[in-house]
Amino acid sequence: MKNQKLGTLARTAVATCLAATALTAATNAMPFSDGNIVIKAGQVITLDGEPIENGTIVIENGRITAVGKDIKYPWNAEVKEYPNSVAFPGFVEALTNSGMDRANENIDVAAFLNVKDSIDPVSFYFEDSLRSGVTTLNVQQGGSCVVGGMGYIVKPVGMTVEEMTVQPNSGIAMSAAPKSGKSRATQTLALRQTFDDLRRYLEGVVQEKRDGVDLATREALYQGREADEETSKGRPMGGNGWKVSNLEMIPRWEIDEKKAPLLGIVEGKTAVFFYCSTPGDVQTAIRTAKDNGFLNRTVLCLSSGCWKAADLIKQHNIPVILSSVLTHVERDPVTGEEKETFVPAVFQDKGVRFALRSAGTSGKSLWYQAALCVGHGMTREQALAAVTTTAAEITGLSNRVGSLAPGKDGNVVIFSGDPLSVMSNVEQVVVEGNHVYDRSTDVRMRHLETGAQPENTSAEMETGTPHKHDEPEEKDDKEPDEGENEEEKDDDHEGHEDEEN
Amino acid sequence: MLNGLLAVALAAIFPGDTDIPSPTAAVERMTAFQAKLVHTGDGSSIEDCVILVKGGVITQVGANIKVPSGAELIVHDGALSPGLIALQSEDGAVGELNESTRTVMPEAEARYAFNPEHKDFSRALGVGITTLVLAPSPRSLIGGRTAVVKTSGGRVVKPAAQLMLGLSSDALNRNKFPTSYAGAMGELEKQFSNPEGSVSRAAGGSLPVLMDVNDRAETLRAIAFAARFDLKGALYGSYWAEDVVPAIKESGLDVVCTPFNVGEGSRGIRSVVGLSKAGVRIGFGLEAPDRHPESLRFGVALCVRDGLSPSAGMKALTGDAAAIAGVSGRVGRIARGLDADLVLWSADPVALSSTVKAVYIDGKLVHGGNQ
Amino acid sequence: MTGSADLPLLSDPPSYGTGRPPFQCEFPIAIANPADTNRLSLTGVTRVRRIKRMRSKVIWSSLVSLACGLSVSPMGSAFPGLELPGAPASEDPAVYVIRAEKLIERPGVVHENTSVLISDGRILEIGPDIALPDGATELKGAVVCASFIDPWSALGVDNGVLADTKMAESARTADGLNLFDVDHLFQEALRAGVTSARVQGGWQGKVCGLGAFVRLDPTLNDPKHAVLLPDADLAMSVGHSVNRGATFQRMGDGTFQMISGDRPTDVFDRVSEIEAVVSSVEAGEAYRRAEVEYKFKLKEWQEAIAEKQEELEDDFKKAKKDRDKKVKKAKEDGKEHKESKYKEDKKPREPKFNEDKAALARVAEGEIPLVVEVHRSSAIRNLLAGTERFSRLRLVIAGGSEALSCAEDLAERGIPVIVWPSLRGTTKKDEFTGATLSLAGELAAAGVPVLLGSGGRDADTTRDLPLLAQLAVGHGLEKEQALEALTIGAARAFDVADRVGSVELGKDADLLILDGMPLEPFTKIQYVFCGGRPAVTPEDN
Repeated sequence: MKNQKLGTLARTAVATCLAATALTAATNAMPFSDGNIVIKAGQVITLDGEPIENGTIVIENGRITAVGKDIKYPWNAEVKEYPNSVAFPGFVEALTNSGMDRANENIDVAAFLNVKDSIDPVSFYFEDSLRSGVTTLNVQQGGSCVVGGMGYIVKPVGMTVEEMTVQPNSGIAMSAAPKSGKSRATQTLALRQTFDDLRRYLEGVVQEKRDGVDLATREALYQGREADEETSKGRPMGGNGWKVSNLEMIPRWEIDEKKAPLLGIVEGKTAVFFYCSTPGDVQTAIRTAKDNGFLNRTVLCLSSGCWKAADLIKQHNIPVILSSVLTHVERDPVTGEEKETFVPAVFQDKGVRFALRSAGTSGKSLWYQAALCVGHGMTREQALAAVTTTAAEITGLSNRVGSLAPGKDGNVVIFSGDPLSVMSNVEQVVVEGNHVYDRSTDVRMRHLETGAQPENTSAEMETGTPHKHDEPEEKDDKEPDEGENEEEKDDDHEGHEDEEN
Repeated sequence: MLNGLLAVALAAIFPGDTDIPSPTAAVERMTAFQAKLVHTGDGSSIEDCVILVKGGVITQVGANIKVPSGAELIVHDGALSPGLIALQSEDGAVGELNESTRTVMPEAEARYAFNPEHKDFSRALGVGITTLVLAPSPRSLIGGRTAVVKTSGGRVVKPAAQLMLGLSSDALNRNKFPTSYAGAMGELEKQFSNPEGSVSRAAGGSLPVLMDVNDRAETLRAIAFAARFDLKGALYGSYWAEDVVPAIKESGLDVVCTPFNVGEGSRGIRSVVGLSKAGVRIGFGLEAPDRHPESLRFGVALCVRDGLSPSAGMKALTGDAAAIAGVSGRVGRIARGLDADLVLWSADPVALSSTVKAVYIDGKLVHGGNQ
Repeated sequence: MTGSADLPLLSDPPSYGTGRPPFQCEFPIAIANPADTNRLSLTGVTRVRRIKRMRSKVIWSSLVSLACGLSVSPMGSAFPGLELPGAPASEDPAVYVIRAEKLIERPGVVHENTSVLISDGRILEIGPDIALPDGATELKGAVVCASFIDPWSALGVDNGVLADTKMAESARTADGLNLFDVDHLFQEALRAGVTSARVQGGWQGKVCGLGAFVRLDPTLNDPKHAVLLPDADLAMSVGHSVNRGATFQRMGDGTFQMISGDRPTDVFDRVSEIEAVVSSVEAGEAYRRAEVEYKFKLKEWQEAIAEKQEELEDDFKKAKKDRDKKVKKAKEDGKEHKESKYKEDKKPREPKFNEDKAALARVAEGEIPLVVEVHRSSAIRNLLAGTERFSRLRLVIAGGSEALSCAEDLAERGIPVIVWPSLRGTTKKDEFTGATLSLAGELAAAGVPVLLGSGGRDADTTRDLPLLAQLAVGHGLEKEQALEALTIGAARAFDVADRVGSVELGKDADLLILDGMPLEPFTKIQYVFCGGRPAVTPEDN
């Protein structure tokens, strides 16, 4: 079962790969095959210039080396031709809380935790993301915390977290929206106390060290010998926020490992994904970030009601990630009339950079959210940017994903038509030069559409007769199927999702 | 027990539901009141007015009246008004006005739950309310007939003043009839199509109705129902958007406003002001003792703040309220022949900062100090 | 609490009314009435206390003075990240001159035919003849007075914070303000003449946290401008806490009825709750004392160590020679040289920082008032008895339904009572049972400083505070006392009297222009100035 989620080609590749190479703990992903492929498509949308008719994309060692029309490529390259299809960069999910064992911890401050210990590579969520053409996901802890754990940016293919990793330690989740059992006042108090405690702790540690040094000096004086040379093995406190003087006296490994990630935040070394569910939370988040010197590393993760704080966000030029609910409905308290606001349009008008999140993996994935934006009056370019290039920028991967340009990762999705159209299907997906998804051999998809049972399923066991294997691979250039894939795996609604009031 | 005895006593003294005649064994000596400002209860006021009272009844009102010798003269340096009238209350009868087992009981009368010794009445009296309408609970479809009573002296001004109809969702139940609007209206249609007893008098227009409604849809439904069966009377419930005002005006029904909360939404207040400005006759309910009796004047103060004229507010508390309750021949105005229910205030009664100095019911001092 | 007689008359200082151009001022301006400023004053006790043991008191107060100078303050400023507001918002530094036929500076002090100059949010000049500067707007009014303050309000507070029963002593209502969705409520309150309020969350719990003092201008939805004091008071409540799992439901007449919970509060619960309040204050006092003692011990130790260091440095040469000799000898003997042991006094331990206790310490010191919502007379008596020994504590009682029984004590100690003149019925019983509309008048007549508030449960009741004040007047409160309760009395109790509460030089321009005397029913409010700008104009009505 596990092996059959990949296409036949990839399956062979995986077998070869696993047999040939040993898994290491390196942060760079192991290529499944050699990561060399050439893709020719009827239309290539690069998002880095005009779309190219009958374009070619050359990927070597997992990176795009050339994109254009009539490009030369090595004679022994594996060439895939899709003359009637559209090639598009893989979608970038700027923030997701799915694919993990549990999205939230019970403790308030969990900065020392890391999602890499929690990501489940065989989760259906990743498989479904691939079906929708999402090739890069920023997995973060949910918003039910004060300070959450460190996140990872992964691609939805791989048998281990190391294989899946695109960028480790992408940022820490924090929440200005109160977790259950707290109100906004006590949540803000907890946030403030977290950093106050950190500062107090560091000052205490420095003071203790200094006292120790002074004591040693006096002891040496008493004993009549020269005091030992003090070597400071630490580094001074960095960043733009408050500073604890003489932190260089403390070697970094002596700092409590539970507090060290917080220190990283204050020094501006870590991105922060700050969850907000009301405009007041936005104020709290900005205030906390400003006070502790990480405003320039903050990304706000907003619920739909936060559009009212758009001016404040613009003032500080903070990028935002919008929730999957794009229309905010509220009732006027005086007249009782309902008012609807399309949230991305507000941020577009104010000039705030924003990324979108999917509302479900297959039915309402990123293409759907982008299509909704176009439906509400935004241009295609603006809508597509929010799920590709801007999302990559916001998560710090603008040099690696988001568009088809030389030097970037070879993440290409082949659509049967316009990526934003409901009639188009994701036919093929190439991730870092490896062809990892082929719709025609997608076993579960075929089960849904044609009734063909996957092998070794309970249905097969019941009847006792083995079902036919999948039909031989077809180049799926026929007209796209009607209807949607109804399987909606809604396991990405843990954490903060503020639905309409 | 006490209630039962009282009921028997009252039934013996006052059989049937005819109007109670004015008391004869009242104070015979003439009393003269002279006040800086007298509100007559019909929207106007007279300065330096003299009121002559004899036998508990007002005999003369005017600015240039000579006070006859031998009369007790009470000079009041403040305002004087008719006693305030609250058009819905459960004072002294909490729990006694809700017949929860039968939803249609047109012959029930609230006056049998009248307990004049209860201290709720003295609280109401202390803020200038001299007349109350005890109304059956709106949880019944036809709860019975309201009673207009005085807050001191135990007198029932009118024992069967209005027929109470519960046309709001309060009359709907979960587990017993009626559970839906359709069922409720069906039952009411049945009752009114073949009317008996009090219902037939209501259907003929001789017994006014008091229809409890909560929102716009219920209001329109009630208006249509009243038009269908030619009912006269009032709506009880005033929170709706202003576009229903024309329909109410056209129907000729009066409106008894539900008491306002502190912090009441401006929509509700504006509706009442709009009603009054459109010429609909309004009065105020009280829902005491769940509420403080001062809610009556507080509601008027909210409306005055939002544009109601003080004189219209005064009228809604006195003369118009009496008319809605059908007792304008007895109370509600300072005019010849009406009961001498007077309140002496330190300043204009619409002002919340004015204090009740004294209250007279039927010419007798029942609350407050001597002048 | 009546208008002070030592207020300088406007005609005395020669700078008024001489045609001198308005002076450019930088915040802060000298305050006209020093009695209005008692925040952080070390001698800020409004009544003379009985001094039991003079000696220890002198030592203690000197220790405290030192401590206040050296005290550990929370990280950063009191409200980190937001500068405590200096001059109000000056995006629109408009200048106004108001010509008033009657200027009610504070209740009891009325000036005829006076003008007020407002610039950049402050009152810069008051006098009979003020020239109209260029670009200034001139307004005429029959009566000008200070705008109203609601000292017990929930306006602008997030619902979750209001319902929070687990607020810590250091949790701030200012962090839980929702200023984005309350424009209509602010507007209605402004139209009624209320321009600022003390807001408090967490009223259902035993500890309600730190309240905030906010200004209700909807155009200032940046907390930097709206919040005048992020920590106006620490509040606690007695008698209706939900710590036993009770839930409350709002009734039609504004009361909150407990609808579930294992049993209603009884006398013993209240006794223990009062004891909890008293011991909290004690804990705060002990915390501050521990801090002060630590400071002293630390200083002593540091001085001793410095001396020792000098000694050691002086003796170093000799010690070195001795050591070299010993090392040489040890080497000759073939033994290890053992260093001599060095002993010194241990550094005194710093008391562990506890933000809640730090807040309680501020309360015990009298820096911020302690507002306790308590109703039953036994509870009030216990509270008064229990807090008597805290000479610096500034107690304010909210509610006080049966406070009349303790009126003498309250009057003697000058403890203000915030009364909520509410229209509750008699059918449901809650903590407020026993409060009548005449409570405010009776307390005031007994000499207790009375304030009027709108209950702090619902955001929309603040708008009706002036009407409730009129009701209280109708039931016995003096009109001037009501006006004082709504203006300078509330400001003084919560330490904002240097900024709002009366129409005086240097204060923020929060005032009303009316066509008649304030708190009269037929008086229309024409202009409401909030933060120096007209938030309500006649066109709005």
